[in-house]
Amino acid sequence: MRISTSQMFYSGTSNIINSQSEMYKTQNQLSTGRKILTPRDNPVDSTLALMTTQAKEVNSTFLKNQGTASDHLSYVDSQLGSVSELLQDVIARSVQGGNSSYSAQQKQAIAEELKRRFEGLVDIANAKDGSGEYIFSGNRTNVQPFRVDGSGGNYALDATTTSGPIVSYSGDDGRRLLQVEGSQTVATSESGQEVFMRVMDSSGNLNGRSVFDAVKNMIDALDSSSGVVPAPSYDQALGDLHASLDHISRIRASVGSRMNQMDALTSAGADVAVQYDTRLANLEGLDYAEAISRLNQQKMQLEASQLSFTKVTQLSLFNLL
Amino acid sequence: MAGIFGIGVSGIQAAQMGMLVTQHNITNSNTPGYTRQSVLQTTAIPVGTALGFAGNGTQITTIARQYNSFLTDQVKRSQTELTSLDTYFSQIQVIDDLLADANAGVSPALQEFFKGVQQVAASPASLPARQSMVSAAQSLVSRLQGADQRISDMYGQVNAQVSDTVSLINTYGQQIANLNERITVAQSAINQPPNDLLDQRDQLISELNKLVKVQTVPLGDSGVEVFIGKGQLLVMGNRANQMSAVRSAEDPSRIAVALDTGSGKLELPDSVINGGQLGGLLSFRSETLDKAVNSLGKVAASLALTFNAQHGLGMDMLGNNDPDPGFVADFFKIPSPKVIPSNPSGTIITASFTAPTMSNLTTTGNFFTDLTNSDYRLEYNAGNFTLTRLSDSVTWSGADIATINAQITDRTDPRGAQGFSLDDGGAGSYTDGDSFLIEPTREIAKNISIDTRIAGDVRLIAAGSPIRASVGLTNQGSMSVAVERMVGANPGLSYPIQVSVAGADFAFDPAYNNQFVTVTDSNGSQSYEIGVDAVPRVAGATYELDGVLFSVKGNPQNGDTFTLDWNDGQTGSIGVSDSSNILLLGKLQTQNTSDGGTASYQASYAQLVSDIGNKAREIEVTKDAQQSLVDQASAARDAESGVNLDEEAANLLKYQQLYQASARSITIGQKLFDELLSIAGG
Repeated sequence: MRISTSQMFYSGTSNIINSQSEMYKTQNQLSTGRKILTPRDNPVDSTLALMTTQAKEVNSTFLKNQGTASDHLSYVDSQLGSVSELLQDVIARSVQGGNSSYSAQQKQAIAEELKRRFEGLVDIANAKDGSGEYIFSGNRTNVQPFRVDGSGGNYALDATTTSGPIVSYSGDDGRRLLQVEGSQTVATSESGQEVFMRVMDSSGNLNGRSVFDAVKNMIDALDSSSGVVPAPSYDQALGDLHASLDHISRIRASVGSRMNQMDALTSAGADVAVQYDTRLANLEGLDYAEAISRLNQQKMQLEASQLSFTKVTQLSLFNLL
Repeated sequence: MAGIFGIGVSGIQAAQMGMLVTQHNITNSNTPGYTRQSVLQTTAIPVGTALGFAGNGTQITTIARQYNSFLTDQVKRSQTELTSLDTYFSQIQVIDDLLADANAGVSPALQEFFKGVQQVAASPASLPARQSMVSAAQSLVSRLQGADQRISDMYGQVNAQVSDTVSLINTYGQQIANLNERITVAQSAINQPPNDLLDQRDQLISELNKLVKVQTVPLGDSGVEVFIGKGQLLVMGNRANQMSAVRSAEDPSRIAVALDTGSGKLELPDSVINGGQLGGLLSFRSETLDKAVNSLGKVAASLALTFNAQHGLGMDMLGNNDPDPGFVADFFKIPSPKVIPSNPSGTIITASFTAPTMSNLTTTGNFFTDLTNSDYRLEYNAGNFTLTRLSDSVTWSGADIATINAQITDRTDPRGAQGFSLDDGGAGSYTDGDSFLIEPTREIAKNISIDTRIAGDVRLIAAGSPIRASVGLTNQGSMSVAVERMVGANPGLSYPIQVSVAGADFAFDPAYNNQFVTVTDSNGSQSYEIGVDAVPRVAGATYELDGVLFSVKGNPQNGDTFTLDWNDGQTGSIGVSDSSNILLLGKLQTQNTSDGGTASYQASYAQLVSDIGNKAREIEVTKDAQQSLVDQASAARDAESGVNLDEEAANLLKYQQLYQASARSITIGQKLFDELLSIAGG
């Protein structure tokens, strides 16, 4: 075939340019560590990578939410723990007070001690979390949930307060929910209503008296000078205290099981995160060994093109004339 | 004796002409479009003698181009496709690179925004958390605007390039017409082909062909006619028609190509122009650019519409809910679909997005839109409207706008709902040929923003639910009640609503008689009219009353009660940490919110990336294949018509030797003559 001189130059240079552009791409891949530089390099994989990235991000959000939920729950749990200890203490003192050999003064002394416990109980029920929000006020976290009627939280009732709940609740029934997995939300709080106001017995029925009522009735039963007439029944008050302790324990168990659930979700979620990373690396990541050997091959090819170009174009009959 | 000199001289003349042509070839070996020339040499007319015909030397009949019209056409045909693909690729590459850029891409900003939403869900009463959600929303919005900006900028670039190309086409057209004239004159003057002028004209046609695909038809008197598009005449003999770049009648923001006819400018549809730079530009604009901007707009519109719909069902931190004057239902602001009218009668048609649909009225339901990434054209003719979806020419027709609306908002229609509706105030007047271009999502990504009231006061984010549930303090059983979600805005009944357990049913106050409670469980939904039907308690069911969807769990005892009430209650205190609505907003991230409830925001965005990536790849591969076609065709043409310097060097030697031998034969004649003279003189 007849070849024109300009054709020789053209094909020589266009080969060199093609080799250079291939090398440029390989070099870009090596410097970014990605085999897909733009979606057109592999439209299917780059779309998959986008979806995987979102799944990975969503998973990391859930992991973070699980952490937040655990923090909230463990704070609730520690407060409930304090309530349990306090109630156990109250029960122990009450049992002492029930001793028939105790004098009225001795019983009154115990009652005085229980009054301080009562104040401690109200303090715990009005606890705030790290960001200053009340933890037992349902969703009304900016409102102090518990208030002792007629007094600023101190146990100082006058004799006329004979009926009705001693402590009123200003929160609501809400529980704070957080999404911790694609299809799961978890309650990260318990409303004060549920914890302190609605004490259930072991069969799930309400007795209509709050934890505060139980302590208050015990105080009045022990303190003959309380002026509450008729004096509350000691046996009923003690029964209510036990029911309250059981009730708090049941709620703690529920909180604890949610904390365990978070731990399980977090360990599963961490595994999934590793899988997403692996998948992304497979979709987008560069095989360095392959890319470097490709670069060497392209370099050799470019050198050969350049060399052959100079050799061929130097040949001319005019040189011999 | 004279013959010897004559023949020698004819050889010298032929050799000189041969060397001239060879030199011409050598000096033009790099001239674009040059066709190698050669002398056509024949024997001179012999002299008849009694002894026979005596040769009379040689003569040059013509100087010919080594031209093959078939091979030249092959090059032209493949070249115009290649330039078209090259232009297309250089444009689509910009979008492809933009989408590849993780920092400029929309996807990371979308993830960040929903992380912000989750932060508010974790602490709804925290102002810093709300502020960071608004900041994330602002960066999402500016990312959408930025991406749109970079893509929309290309409309301006395409417009400018179309104008430039059109004026170049006019220049080439004029030059070809001029050459036509010169070629005709030159040819008729000496009756020999004007080779170099023909090369020049071929070269001009080939340059023009790179701008837009042309067809040529030779005219009898060595002129040529040049057509572009579908038979639009650009050059005829020595006359060139003018083309111009004009604002498109349908969409004045687009520059289209028009042909100047004697009576005015005739706008050519984009589809008529193909090949070359111009063809590449126009098909890029209609196939890819529109789709890219529309798809981005679709993501933005679906996000705004569905997020707003859910947000509007909530209650903000100040206790406002729809329709309280202080309540801001729409978190994002977007403009209405764009309508470009072209109707002399002047009736104004507006379009608006239809409210998103909720996929199902249970706890797992979510809002979604039906928007497509297509534009639409509404035309009026003979008392009938036709709406055409431009991406696939699906049509809707009807006698008035209301009839069209009924069809395009019907989700059960096999053509699907389109996510928008039209409005002409019900009383438009139309004339035949009125037309409206509707671009539902074209300018959404460009114009999406956050409501300034929310940006200014983050407490207005509606994270909570307007209605809450509580159980009676004196209940004996373990019943718990939760408001799962609002399925309607603006609850209208008188709250609080107290409900009590009456055996296997729920009992309502007679004040709510004739209201309907919908009970849904795994077996389906059933509505009950209060005061007429008994509303049964169904285990595991959800109940809907007045747009409030709630669930009842646990074991109630007879006479136990629960209450539905405003979340900002009678006491004036507000459930500021209620996360019911923000949870639902957060879930939207992974739910199918677009494309008729089949794709998430991210999937919808990924579809755009995939579309552009695939198209760019297709164009790149076709372009590379086309390049090798052009290379092959050029090689075939050059093999015949190109200059080979070695060959010309050999020709030089050949003609040099012819010259030397012919000259030598004259000196021999001289010697013979001298010989005769010496004999005569002796």
